[in-house]
Amino acid sequence: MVLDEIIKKAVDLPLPEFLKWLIASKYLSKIGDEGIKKVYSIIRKIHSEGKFAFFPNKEEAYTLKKLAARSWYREFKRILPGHWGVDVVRTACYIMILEEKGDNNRVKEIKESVFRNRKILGLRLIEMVQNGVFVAVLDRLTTLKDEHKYSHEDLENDFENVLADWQRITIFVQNADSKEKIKTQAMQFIDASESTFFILAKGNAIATAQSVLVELQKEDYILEKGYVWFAKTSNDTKPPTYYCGVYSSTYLL
Amino acid sequence: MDFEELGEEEKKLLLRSFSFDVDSEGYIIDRELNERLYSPDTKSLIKFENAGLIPGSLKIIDTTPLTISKFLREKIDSENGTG
Repeated sequence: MVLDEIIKKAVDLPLPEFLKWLIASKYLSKIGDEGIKKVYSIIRKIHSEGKFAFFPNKEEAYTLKKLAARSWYREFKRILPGHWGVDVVRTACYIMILEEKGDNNRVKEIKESVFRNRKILGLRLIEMVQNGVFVAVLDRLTTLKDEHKYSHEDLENDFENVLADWQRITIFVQNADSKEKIKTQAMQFIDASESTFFILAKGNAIATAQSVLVELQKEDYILEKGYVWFAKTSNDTKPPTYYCGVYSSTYLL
Repeated sequence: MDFEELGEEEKKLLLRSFSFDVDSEGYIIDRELNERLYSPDTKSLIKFENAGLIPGSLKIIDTTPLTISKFLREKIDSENGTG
């Protein structure tokens, strides 16, 4: 009789409610080992239908689920499907949401878990997403894939080279920086035949970055030395990020 | 697929149904192998409080945003047209 009632509840109730009901009813202590085996079998059958996944914090799981629609995530996954960085980029987008809420303790925990799993490169990728460099890198990867038909392996190598080196090859323009200072830094990269470098700016510093590029362009410094550049403003970061990728044109061939 | 949280007893019941249990120090154990469950993703033993339980046959993950992201990418995004 008890087993019949359990089977009826298993049909009527969704799995979480069925489990709750089973605990509250205390029936498991009344049906013996064979009865328990039967109930376990019922639970396995319902769970295998795949209607529920159980997490310690379901809101976190739902927020991460929504991030699948984030343009950075979708584009990176299109360019490098299956790459370990895809999940880190999604996690980084989640960290940005937590930072906006001021949940610094959770951010610290998540970064520690990323370090345990992906070591320093995982943290570098998170930082790259947070500071906007990732937008420039993604734009570059899109160009390499769609216009220059790079293979998956070449895209992966290119991404991992940039990931390892982005701190050295990125000029972060600060509000207090003079145009001359940034221009000198950019010219040093070009004179050193650096194959790729990035210029990033936010807020008032955007005008400085733009005027540097205009001057270098006017002076033919970029084209004459065999470089091309692409610049855009991303509104996906707060505040919006102006980014410019400067590439040796021979490198893109 | 819906995401839910389970109370402690309900979660233990689901684990026991699949021949897992929780030891005295709060780690998930595989009763058939009589050993603690290790997560290759986080390279850690899985604590009961941190265990995520994924269908169809029970898959237990050491829950972090990174492991949830992996699960979502592999199992959910494509269902939602975001794969």
